[in-house]
Amino acid sequence: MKTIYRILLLLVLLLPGLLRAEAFFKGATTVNLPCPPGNREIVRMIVFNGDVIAAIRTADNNPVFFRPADMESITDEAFVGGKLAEVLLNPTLPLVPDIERQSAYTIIENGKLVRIGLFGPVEEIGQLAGTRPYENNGYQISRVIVKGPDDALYTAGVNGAIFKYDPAANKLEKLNAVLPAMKGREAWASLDAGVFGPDGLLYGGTFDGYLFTFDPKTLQVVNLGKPFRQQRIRGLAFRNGKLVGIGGEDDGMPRSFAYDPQTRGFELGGAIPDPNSNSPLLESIGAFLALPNGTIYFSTTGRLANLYVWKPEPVK
Amino acid sequence: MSDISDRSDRSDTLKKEVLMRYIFTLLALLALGWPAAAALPAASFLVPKETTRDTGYTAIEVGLDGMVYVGTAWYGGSAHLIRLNPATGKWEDLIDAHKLTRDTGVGLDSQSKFHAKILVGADGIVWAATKQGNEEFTNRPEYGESAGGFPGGHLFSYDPKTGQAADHGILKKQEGIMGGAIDNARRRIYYVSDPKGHFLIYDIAGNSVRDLGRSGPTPRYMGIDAKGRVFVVGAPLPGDNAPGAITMYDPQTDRLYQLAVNVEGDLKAYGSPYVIVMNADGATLLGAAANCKYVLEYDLSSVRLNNANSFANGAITCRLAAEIKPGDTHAGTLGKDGCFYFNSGAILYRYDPAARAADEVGIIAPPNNRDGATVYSQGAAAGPDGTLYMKFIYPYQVLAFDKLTAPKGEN
Repeated sequence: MKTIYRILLLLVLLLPGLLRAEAFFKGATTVNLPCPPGNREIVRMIVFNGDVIAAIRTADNNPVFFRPADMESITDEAFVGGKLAEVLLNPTLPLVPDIERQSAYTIIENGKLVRIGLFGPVEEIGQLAGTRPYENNGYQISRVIVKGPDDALYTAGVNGAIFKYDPAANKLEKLNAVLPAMKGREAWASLDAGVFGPDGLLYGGTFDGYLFTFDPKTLQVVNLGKPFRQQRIRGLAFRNGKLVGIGGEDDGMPRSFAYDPQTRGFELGGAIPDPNSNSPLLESIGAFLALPNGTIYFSTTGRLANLYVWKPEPVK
Repeated sequence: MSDISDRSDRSDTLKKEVLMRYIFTLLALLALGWPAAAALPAASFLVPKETTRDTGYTAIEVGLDGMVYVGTAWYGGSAHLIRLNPATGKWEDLIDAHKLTRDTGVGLDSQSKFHAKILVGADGIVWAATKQGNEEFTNRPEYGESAGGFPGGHLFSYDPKTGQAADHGILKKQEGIMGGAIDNARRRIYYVSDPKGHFLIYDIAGNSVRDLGRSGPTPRYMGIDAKGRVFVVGAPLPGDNAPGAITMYDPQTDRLYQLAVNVEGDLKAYGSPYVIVMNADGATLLGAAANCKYVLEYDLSSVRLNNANSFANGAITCRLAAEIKPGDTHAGTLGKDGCFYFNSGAILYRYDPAARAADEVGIIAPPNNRDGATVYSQGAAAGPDGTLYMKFIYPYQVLAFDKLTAPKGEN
């Protein structure tokens, strides 16, 4: 009896490892692009006026803006020149549109949060980013600004501090909360990806690859750990109650994961299947955009970059 | 450089080997009840056991000195560059990859294969490059992300005049080196990295390398045409039955182009080529694909750059040139007679581009083949006298088909 009990216990302990999760993002399809190989790297996707808009910076430095839904080119004045276009085409800077105010927010190269009017004016709001030790130039620029359910904007800056900006009150606050970082690496910690969950928490990923939750009400930050050893969280989204994401460094290989807030457990999806070949996607992920309906757009980088769309399975 | 041939019976002359092969083949055929196709006579040269774990790939070429340069594979250990004197059957060990690079990787992280095509420059210098052993890329935790793991394949040169071997360093961090083509006019060598499939240009004079980005899957073969354009198998294109692309590098624009393939004939009969070689006139690219019943002939004058397919930069036309019996195809080369020699399973084919006709030269029967009639051909090269050298594994050996590819009247 004791032996049977031991075997059963062993099986229970081993089960999570034996049941290796199926690769997430499986079943994604390739979206045709208006640009040929060598000129098809999507550097940004945003939702603007209800449309998904993608930005490509060609090898000749010509910007191309288009809607993946119908491949229509975007030639609006706001997209073809000025500061907004400049930021749209720079994937190292965050960008969040504010349609109500006909503007968008970003953190510019000197580390300041700014509001960009769709037709020109740039208004400085405040300093966010810090510098690395021995350097004067702004460095700690997060790659995302996340809009919360309270309509406030959240991002991170100097020494990993989380900032809140309320556009209605035009109030910028440095909160008493910091991104998870190894001791001594606080000056490198920045927000790589983020999404608010149905529980009202911000689920974020740092440049170093840590996942965390941030409660805007209590300012509590909980470090969930790293889904894998590499740095970079390229994108996060909620799908079927789970947080799904892709990580991987520029020289690495994109890998997927999921985090279940109910069980507080990770599922490691591993490499992402390439819909066009038998091999996994090998180039790092560039742009990532999740829609409220569960659809996720993500693109690879490099000369043969592609745009993929992973749609929710139809309800049976 | 060490002579390692004394231990073996490889000191037999080519003539003796051929005679023995004749007798062996005759006996084998009698035992099998005299099948329709005749086994080709060939001398066999077993690769020295000290240099390999009994396997090797595309790395074979004949030097300007008439020696046969061969790269070996040693899974979990150090690959070797060796050379065969076909007149004496003696092998020499030229490069032990780990000794020369001082790399200390073990297992998956070792310089386990000289897989890329061995290249010979106009100056006679021999070029070879290494890669990982086991193609485990998806699950390696450190792949591309850690300073540990496989450091990247090295490029080596060997000068037969001085006997000096040199390590030119790692061409791309944590990537192996595959393919290979040399442009003597521009003093460049082209490779594709593995697994990411990046197109690499090595400048011989400057000892520098450039990465032009992803060209497609990792190939075994590359071809250079009369204009210096480089052709290699490209990425698959989305869509049912869409032929995989051919990637072209044009030195005039210093750019890569993804070319969709317009197939003349039955699209379903087309297969993405495994072996490609440049025709002697530099105007057509010849190809053979696994389990494809046609020799492929790409018309390089048909290359057009356009926006017809958004996944491509243009198109190239491929003719289904001559019918063959489909089979596994890994080895091919251009013979001294201008014909394309390649294997399809155990059959050796000759395709004559002038006549656009293919004929079965005969059956390849490597001696002591462990899998009976299943033949694992891995690479091919033609010597100055037209002798065709082909590599086989299990056991790892080079077969020499005496003057098989020599122009008519010279064999």
